[in-house]
Amino acid sequence: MLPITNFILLSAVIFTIGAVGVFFKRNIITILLCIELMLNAANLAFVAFASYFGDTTGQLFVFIVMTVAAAEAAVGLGLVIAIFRNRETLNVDEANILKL
Amino acid sequence: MFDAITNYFSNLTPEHYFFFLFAIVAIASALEVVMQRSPLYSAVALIFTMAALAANFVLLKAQFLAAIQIIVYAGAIIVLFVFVIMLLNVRAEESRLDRFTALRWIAAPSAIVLFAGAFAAIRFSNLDTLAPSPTAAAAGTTERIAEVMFTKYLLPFEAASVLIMMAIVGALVLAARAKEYDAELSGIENQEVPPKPEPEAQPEEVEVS
Repeated sequence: MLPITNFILLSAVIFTIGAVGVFFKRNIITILLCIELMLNAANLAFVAFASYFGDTTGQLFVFIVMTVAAAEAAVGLGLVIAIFRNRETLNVDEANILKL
Repeated sequence: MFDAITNYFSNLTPEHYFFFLFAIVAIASALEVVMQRSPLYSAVALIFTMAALAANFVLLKAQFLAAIQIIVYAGAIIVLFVFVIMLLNVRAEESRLDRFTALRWIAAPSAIVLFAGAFAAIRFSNLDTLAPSPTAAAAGTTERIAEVMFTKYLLPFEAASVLIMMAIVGALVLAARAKEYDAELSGIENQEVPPKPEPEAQPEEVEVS
């Protein structure tokens, strides 16, 4: 197999791209997509180390991360719908008060 | 520096070519996710990233996770996103000025610092000396993962299922409450609710038709 550095570097690059997206984008759906990107980068690092140590535990953690990502997407998109119904916008800067 | 590069390219295997192909696809589509103005195109670009990462999982001999990545991420989560984007009828991002422009000037250096930190951690950690495990191929099979999941890590598995349950209930509550408040805002709840049609009348109609 290739040196593990390749996979970890790819993971770091994708994580940084996801973080940049969270920093720069103001559309809440795109921010959620960028969070998925960061979770995927973490998954790649998990799988790389699990594979290089020959240990299944890391792969199991990826499975758990995917579960959490699915739950996060469901609740996050429910919130997006709730915000859009009340505010008529998806800009996160507009959603700055707690009052409905 | 140049010697290192030529050394690196002199012993390339097909595995390297596949890794570089899928790494380039993953990075390009990840950039596309961030740079697209329309969220729908971002979601479609994210599917490409997921697929490229699934290919990387196969290179790492994690076949089960590669399949799960395609089925769960590209097949379920992204479809959910696309559903919501189409449901809300989202237009492309307006190009008006954002309120927090100062935040963007802080964001770019902090992104650079983040990557530099990760890069330094990788560079100075002797990761290259980590030899590939001979049992890697056996560790990624469905059989092995199921064995570990339902014996040693049964509790996290059950906790994950409880989390999914809570997420379902939470998403339902959020959507239902939003509707309630909508009705409240437009004053519908003050009006009389029309009486429901009698259920006994239905079978007769069915018989007639």
